Amino acid sequence: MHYFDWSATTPISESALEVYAEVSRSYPGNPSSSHALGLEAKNRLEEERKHIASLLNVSPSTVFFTSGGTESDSIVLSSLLNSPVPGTVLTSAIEHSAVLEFRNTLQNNGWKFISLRCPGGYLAPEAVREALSPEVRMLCIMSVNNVTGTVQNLNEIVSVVRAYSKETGRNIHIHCDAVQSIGKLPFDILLSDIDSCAISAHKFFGPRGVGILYNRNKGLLSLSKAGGQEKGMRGGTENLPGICAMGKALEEALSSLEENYRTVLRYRKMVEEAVLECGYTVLSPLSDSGQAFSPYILNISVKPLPSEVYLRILGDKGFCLSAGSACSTNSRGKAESVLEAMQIKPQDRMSSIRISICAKNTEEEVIALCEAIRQTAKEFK
Amino acid sequence: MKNIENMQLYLIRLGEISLKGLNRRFFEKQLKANIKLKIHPYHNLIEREKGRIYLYVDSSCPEETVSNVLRTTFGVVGFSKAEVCVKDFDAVVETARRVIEKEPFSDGKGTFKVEARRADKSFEKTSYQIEAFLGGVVLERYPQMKVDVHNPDKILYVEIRDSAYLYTTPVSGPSGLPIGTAGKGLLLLSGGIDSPVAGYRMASRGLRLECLYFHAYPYTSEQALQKVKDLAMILARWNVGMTLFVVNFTQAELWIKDHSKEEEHTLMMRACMMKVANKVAEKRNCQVLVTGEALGQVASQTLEAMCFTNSMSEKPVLRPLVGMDKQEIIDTARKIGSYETSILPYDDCCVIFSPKHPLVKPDTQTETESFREMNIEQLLDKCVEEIEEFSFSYRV
Repeated sequence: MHYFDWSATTPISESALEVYAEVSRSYPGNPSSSHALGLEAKNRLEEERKHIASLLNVSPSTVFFTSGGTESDSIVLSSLLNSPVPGTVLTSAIEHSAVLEFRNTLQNNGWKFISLRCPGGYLAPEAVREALSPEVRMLCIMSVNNVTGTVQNLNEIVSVVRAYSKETGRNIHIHCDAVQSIGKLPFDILLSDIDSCAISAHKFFGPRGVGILYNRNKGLLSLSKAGGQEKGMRGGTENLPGICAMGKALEEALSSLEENYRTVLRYRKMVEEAVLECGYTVLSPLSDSGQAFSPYILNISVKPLPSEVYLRILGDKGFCLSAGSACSTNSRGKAESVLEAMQIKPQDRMSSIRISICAKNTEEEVIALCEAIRQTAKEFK
Repeated sequence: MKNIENMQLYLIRLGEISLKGLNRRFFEKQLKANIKLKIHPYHNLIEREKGRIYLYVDSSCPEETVSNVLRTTFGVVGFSKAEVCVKDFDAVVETARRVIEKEPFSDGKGTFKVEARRADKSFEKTSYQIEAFLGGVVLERYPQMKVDVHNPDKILYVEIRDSAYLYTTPVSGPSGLPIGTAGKGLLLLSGGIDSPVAGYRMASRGLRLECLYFHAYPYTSEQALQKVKDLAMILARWNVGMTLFVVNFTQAELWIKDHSKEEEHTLMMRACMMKVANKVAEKRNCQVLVTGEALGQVASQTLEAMCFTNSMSEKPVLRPLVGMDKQEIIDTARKIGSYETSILPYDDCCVIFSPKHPLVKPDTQTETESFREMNIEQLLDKCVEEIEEFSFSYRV
């Protein structure tokens, strides 16, 4: 099978797997135990925190280990429930369900949850400016959209919010879901001036079930303190082998980031060309559109074929693709809701296919994919 | 006398069958054969008597198995696990004490009555005396219980015949007529809620069914096919086994799409299904087709559309749900255990074959002409030739 669903998940890299095995063997203790084995594990954990912090160019005290992107998002959003006085949360309308699914919980607790429209997949800084009010406590914005790969103008959005805060003296927490950015695109957390950000290891060849919450906001109170691990931000015994393996995978991803980016961009252009040649619509920004996009994700409409039919056809030809996003193909309509918020026509939404590329794909594979796309277009008009 | 040692007795009540006249034996015989087959490999003996059947099952057979079999066997109105003892009053009382220790008496609450029948009039006590004495036995054991001879919660039955038989309130069976007593039909099974219910309805009148499914891969998924197999498996319990035929319908669907007007697609597809179903029914000796259509439910189920699809079938088309409300259909689907499978989100028809504005009041003559013009007969023959067959056991 030729895998083109890297945005859904990536297999753990060999070296990360080695680290996983080595740490599992060498550090059997619980980092919370006070005996020698516990202390060794604790030291290894803190060593890895420093390692990861240096890779991300942030302070170790702002790095919290979690089970992945969804949990990192959840910790931040659910922390709002600690607040005695409800306020307003702003999000883009194209956030991952990890964020958008908080709408009901927050609204039931008196919060206002406003998701801002994103025509074409971009949240306009002006739209953020207009939505800001004294009640706003948090803004959630993803850096790269998981369905279409649009890249938000984070710097401008953040400066709009910071300027408002300066004017009014009201602090607004900015949370960024960076799951589809880290390890793929240059992303400087400190420079971007965000307060927190969610990272998931299995998107960059780390193990599943491990992630990071970067948080510099000392006022953020987690609902899940449990045993007080991760300074009360995320209770539960730390997944030490997973965390160390994630560090290794991150190190690798960052060291070849530029080279990978160039390869993937070249591949994306090849696929894009084949898609356009077949008369399909590209729902992601076109490579030459001048808009910011991640080459790792290409969303197309294979109208009139419904997504699921196209997936079966390409599946039979040996290709793994996904409809919308893998997180939502089981629950009808969710990926669609992102495309809907991008104001994409219903017919295109029903026929949307996400091709996610990686530098690990070979050129032959990409050529084969292009050929399969062309062939299918001929066979199934 | 049959050897009934180490066997558990179940008393099965028959309803409609016992009203039959000279052909009653035919129905009883079929019911007996169905039960025997379903309980196999557990050794069992069956005795018939007017209005009831005595089923002796090897005591190694779990009660749950027997109960599952009888609850899914058409012709069974109700059944109870019975205790047998010698025709001696003390032995009857002793057995009664044992019977009331079990459900439904074991909770010791509510109202009850004892109902005795004495076929053997030489028995030492009259029916009334048996009832009165055993009523006392129950009250002694469960002082909180009360007698209610008109509308009791629980009944203890005593029958004095060749031996004494004691049993309590029967568990309901599905009633109807035994499978195989009304010939054979071909059910057009989709993955929806209606067609399994239609199958169940006809099976309950004794019609033995086989199923036919139209699969259009890759336009419909393998999961949709699996869902239909699961539904066939559910129906197999009631139908004493099931054979499912799967037609690869993709080429036919594409042909219809390319050779008919968009608003006619669904009608043409239904017409093709009827044609294929007739051919399969002929081969399989099925006398009728069965569909899950309900009047007015969707565009292809208007009276005009049904008249047209009817005209495409030589075999009679039975539509047991035609006058049923959707909620009634759903209730039955829940009862027979097909609902949860039917609502799984795997469509059995792809949107690209569904017209936006289907013809709701087709004219039979015009549509027949459209069908003829499609010139699809050869392709349909091929569909029948390449049909796939799957069998499902009646094991419950």
